[in-house]
Amino acid sequence: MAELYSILRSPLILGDKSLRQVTDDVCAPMERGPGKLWWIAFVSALLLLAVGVAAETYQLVTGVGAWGLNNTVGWAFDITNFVFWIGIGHAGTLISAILFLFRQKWRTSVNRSAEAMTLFAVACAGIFPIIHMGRPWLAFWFLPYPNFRGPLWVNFRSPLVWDMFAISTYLLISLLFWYIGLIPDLAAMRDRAGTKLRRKLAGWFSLGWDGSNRTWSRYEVLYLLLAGLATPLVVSVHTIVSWDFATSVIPGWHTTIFPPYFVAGAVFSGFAMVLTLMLITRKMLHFEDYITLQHVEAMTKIILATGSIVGFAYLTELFTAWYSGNIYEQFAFTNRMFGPYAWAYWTMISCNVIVPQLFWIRRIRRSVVVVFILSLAINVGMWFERFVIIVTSLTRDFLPSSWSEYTPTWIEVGTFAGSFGLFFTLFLLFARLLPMIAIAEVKGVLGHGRTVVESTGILTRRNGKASQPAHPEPVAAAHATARPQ
Amino acid sequence: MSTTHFDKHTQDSAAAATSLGDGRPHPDTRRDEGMSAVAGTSTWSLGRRAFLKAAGFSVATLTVGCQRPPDTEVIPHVHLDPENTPGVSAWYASVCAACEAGCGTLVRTRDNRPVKLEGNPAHPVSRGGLCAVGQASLLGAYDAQRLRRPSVGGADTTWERLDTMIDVELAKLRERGGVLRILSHTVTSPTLRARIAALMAEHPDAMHVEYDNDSCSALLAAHEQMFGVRVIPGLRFDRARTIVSLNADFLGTWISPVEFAADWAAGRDSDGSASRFSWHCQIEARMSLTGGKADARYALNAAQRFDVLWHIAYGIALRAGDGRIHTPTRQAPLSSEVMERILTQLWEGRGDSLVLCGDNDPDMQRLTVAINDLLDSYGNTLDLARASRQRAGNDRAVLSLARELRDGAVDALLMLDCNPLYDFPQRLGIEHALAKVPLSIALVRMPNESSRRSRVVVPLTHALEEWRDVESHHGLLALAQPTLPPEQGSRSMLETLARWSGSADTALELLRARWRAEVFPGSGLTDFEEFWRETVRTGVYDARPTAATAAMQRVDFTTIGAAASTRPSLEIEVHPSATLLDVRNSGNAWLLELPDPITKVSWDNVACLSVATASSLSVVTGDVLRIEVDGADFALPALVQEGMADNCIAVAAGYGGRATRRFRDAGPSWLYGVPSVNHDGVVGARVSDALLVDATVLRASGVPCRASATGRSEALALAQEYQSLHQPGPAGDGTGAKRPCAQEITIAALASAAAHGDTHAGPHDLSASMWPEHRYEGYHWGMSIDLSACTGCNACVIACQVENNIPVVGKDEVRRNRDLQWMRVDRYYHRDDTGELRMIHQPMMCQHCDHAPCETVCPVLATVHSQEGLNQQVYNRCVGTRYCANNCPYKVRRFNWFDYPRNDEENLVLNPDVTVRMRGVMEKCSFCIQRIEDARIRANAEGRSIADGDVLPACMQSCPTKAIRFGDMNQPDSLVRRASAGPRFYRALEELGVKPSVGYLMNVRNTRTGKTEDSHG
Repeated sequence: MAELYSILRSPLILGDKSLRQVTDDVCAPMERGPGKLWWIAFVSALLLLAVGVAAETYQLVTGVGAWGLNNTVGWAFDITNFVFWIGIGHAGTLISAILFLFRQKWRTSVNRSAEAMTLFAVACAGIFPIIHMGRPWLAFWFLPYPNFRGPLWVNFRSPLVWDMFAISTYLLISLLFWYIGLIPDLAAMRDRAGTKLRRKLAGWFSLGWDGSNRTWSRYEVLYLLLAGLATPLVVSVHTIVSWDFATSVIPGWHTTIFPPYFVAGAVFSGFAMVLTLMLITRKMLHFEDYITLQHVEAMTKIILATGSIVGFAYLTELFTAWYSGNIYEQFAFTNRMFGPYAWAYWTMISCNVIVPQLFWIRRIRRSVVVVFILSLAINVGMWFERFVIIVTSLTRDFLPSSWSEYTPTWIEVGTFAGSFGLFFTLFLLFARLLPMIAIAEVKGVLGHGRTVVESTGILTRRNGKASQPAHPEPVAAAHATARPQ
Repeated sequence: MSTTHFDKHTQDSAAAATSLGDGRPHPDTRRDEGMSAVAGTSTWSLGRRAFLKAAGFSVATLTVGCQRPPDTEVIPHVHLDPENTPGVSAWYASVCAACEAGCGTLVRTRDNRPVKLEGNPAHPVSRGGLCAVGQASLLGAYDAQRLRRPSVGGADTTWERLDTMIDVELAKLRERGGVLRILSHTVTSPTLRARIAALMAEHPDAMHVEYDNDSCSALLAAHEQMFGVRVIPGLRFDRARTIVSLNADFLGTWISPVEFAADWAAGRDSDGSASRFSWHCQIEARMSLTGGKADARYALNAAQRFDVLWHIAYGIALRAGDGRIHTPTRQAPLSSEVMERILTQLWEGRGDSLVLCGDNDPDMQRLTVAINDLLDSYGNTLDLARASRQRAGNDRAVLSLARELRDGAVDALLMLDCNPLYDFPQRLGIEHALAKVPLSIALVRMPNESSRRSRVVVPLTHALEEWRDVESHHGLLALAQPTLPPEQGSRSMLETLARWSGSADTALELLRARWRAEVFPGSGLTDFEEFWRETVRTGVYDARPTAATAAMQRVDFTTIGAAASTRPSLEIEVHPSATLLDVRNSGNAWLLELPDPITKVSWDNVACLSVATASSLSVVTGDVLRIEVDGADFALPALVQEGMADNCIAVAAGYGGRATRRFRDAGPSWLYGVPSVNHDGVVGARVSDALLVDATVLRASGVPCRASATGRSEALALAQEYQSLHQPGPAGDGTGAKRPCAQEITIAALASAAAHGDTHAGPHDLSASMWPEHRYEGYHWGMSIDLSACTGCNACVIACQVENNIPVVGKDEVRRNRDLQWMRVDRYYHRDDTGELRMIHQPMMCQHCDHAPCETVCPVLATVHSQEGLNQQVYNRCVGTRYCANNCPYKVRRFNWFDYPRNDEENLVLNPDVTVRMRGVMEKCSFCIQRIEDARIRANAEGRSIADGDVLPACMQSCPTKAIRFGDMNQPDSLVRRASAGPRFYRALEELGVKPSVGYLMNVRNTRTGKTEDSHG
């Protein structure tokens, strides 16, 4: 069952890591305790979260009027943030599920963080549909639970109900997938645990992982099944989110290309966020050997591809509007380009269409600093994409008499900032409490235990110590073997 | 049984009713107790003591027998008026007192509490319609700031002490032969006028000075000079085929707009033959509602209007072979083709022509009288026999009173429900002079500028609390009965004046006495009680005067033209606010929040400027202008207004009064909340100083002024931010494609469409649908709105607000586009095919779509479709996602962004049939479902189905021109069904396929150019 391993390909993990070294490297941040930088970041994130909690509390007490919405613009920051965070949440599942099924081995270095990011982003996203309600304490009415009001069910025709199903399913599957992937690493944590509490918690959560052949086999089957389950969700969630708009009558919303366009946009923004986070993590936690320029490049290429799809979708929208001969459609798009929110549109175009095209250039793809900056720009651009779609379409729809403008209040800005606070708080805790790189999976791509295809002449160096392991199991288990319980 | 004092306006109300009090104020009456019991609020949670009291009282009355409760108990707790079944509305005829027009009203009371004012269909002035101001005046009855006791020198006193003091003072005055002056607005009540005369008769030097805020003094004077009678002739817009109006905003605010609008609409038969469609030309400086509806409109300032009028007079005189009008010395400011057209229209239609002038300028009014006389309008479109009594104000008398006051010559000044300190410019010196008057008495409901400077302040009852009669036109009498016990400690003006002129009679007794003596004999009836009861019930009695013939005197016009030769480089025009009318209504939150129908500004008055004038003053909308008129100055935010004449500033009067100080905290209080008042603490600005004191009149137009930008800027509360029907184009706003939501048609195009049997249809088949169609087995409610009849007057908006318990949200929330009114009247400007600027109003409310976009998207089924075609909103199921509002193409859904504060008076005025909504809930027009249900209950009780006209939604009911029709679309001959058959019918945004239940009839413009075109029109 030895796989083939080419030394002509540049290795995925640098630094000639031994299996032990991988475990040591990944567990190091958890074990050495937080440094000054982490504390600064954590306190800042908490403060941001506090701002959000304060803003949100004020809004809940006062009313949705605390936001800058009005009769014409019923959604703005709330749903923009919702779609933005849901979009961010897409990269994780894509990396862990689709790339897994496509056997993209480079995913192993980033999938854990990407999945965690997905969960945190979905958590942030999930807040907004609830708090945007006029009476959020009745949010449970979204659920079709048996009741004594008739029974009165939800409106199954409403995309908001579909959203509720789509997102809760997505959250559940993503959480399961992430957790299942974590089990071998939790076992490793348990085995290395310095404190009793840590051992106990890690032991409990690793569900008695014993690293046996059978455990591994069950694990892999489950992982594969979950990957299969999660794959359609990557497409479905954002498709359904796009239906919030596509099924409406508002020009600029009512567009059949929304589902693919939104999915591409979500992957696009998700990868941008993965890059942003990974580049910081890589630097801070010294994971340069694990998250290599090759990884960065691979992700920029995905961004380039999805970014081009998004750009194409923008052009298609314009063409459709022009070709429709419908004055409302046509105006919706001229208004985007030249109306009061033209600045938002052109920000979006610059960040989402022009910026990713820079990734055609290899030097840019391999420059960590530039990639970082560009990934930030894409994050901004994708937020504005949702803002442009939601706000500019609503501000000027059919009857000129009801045209209006929208300006956020600080309460809204605070709530948005708070969602970042929550996201980073969770992410920073994750960075300290759980292995940020899937140890077991990374070990699988190190090349240990694989047959090296010798090539003529150019063999210079091999990754790994060329020793054939005695047992045929993936090497990661070596560190996860523990006392059978 | 005693006399029916409180007569229901129902067809079967011969049944006598018990007394609800005799209208006399009873100091013992605990109004608060009575009201809370009636309102069904807290008192019904009977405590032990209250229960025992009530039970004891019931037992006592039962055992003692038919003992009546004491008269002082206006509304007894345990014995509700048998006439009023709890939960069932009773209607009483009354007369509106918000202005002098004297519209007949019906007061809807629930549990002895007036909750709505509607026009009395039997009254010839209102004919069922009622303007926004009239309807909103209901709120004043419940105003917490009303005065509750008289005061002398700032100290509260009792009525007994006050009356004794006044008696003594008046006796002293009489002995000395002192100067008594009575100042009031036009008095339309003959009984009150008789009382004033009686009071004056006791004093050797007494004079009654009347004035009007929108003065018609020059108009009255012109008729006095030429016919010997100081009247305004009855205006017959329904008979006029050609109407040329110079600055007379008769559809908006001028004299009697409800009456005029109905007549004007009757003279424009949009669905009949074009020959019964008047041609209306408006010449004015500011854009007015009337100008917006006109077939031809020219923006000219005052001096230019004078020249036009002179040219018209000259041209007509030439045609009539009359040599009295001198050749105009200046060129007409309109092109010769336009002048020719106006003259041709007027002359060829003589006998059916009507020329009006709204400028308070003696020369212009005399020219107008001359033109109308030459056109044979008197006796045709101008009715001297049925002359209007709605204006009697005499500016010359006001000016001489001011002179007397300044000289300290007045010994006693009685101000009857008026506010001269606000209404007249400061340069008249009244404020300073008032201190010199030894006895200044203000009769007011609420403290105002003038009562604060008066020695004696006397509280008045609200119009809904008193007996009153009104003679709005010669011989047309109306009676108003109280529908509410008087506010504790107030007394009606009639009783107060009677008391001070030696009569202790109540208002009812005074009225009955006068009617028995003066009116009853002409009725031909034998039983006065029967006559009285019937008149109280119907609210109106028409004495039908015999036609008076008045010969016009020969007047020399040679002096005309000299006075108007001054041409200021910048002039200001003061007009009554289209929403407030005048300062008397400025304490009314409903009216302050109501957007001006033209400027769409609420909670403010603004300085309207043309684009050119604004750029010459280098200001844009919102920049505060300092305007200086003859030494006085005031500041107002500028607003660039379409259709304004250049070099002219138009400002609305009625704002900036002390009464508006209370609105500091109107609307929700939150982090960003801004008070609804400006930095002076009042709403808007007082502009009375812009009135020019002339020799004989107070001029409100063509007043020279100076204006400069202050550098400050204000965010206006605009209820509509984009003004044009044309979407923004590359060249700027309002230059792009025209949206088809509000449609117009020329009379020629309409005639050809009617001839070819066309119905409105777009290029595509709009019936295709992927949805299964709703099937309406029983009723299918629908509405049609005639844009041709709609004048944009806002009556429907207020009717809806009152009917549906819509809270006031305050200036800041309107500014944030979060007004809550379910109904709005969209106002668009557009250019027609010939490039003319046109204004069109489109009432917009929930369209009750068959395929409603809001219904599919609500996650919790809070908005659902009824079996009768209504789009229903279930407030208690709504979670407030606002998805429905986003998906509404008409943007008619309104969201409760906050819990809006309501003060006590607003709670009392709530309609018990409509629930109030909490924050976080969506709401919208319900087609007045409570009225549909009411009609259904009545029909079921009578074992029949709901007939056409049984259901009158509030908007439809209030409309003076009957532009709104509602009914069952399943019924083949229903009004609404018939309205949808013609070529003018279309549905807004029809192409979306949402299948609205509301349809519109296109606005029709009469573009005929001469008589010849009519024949095939």
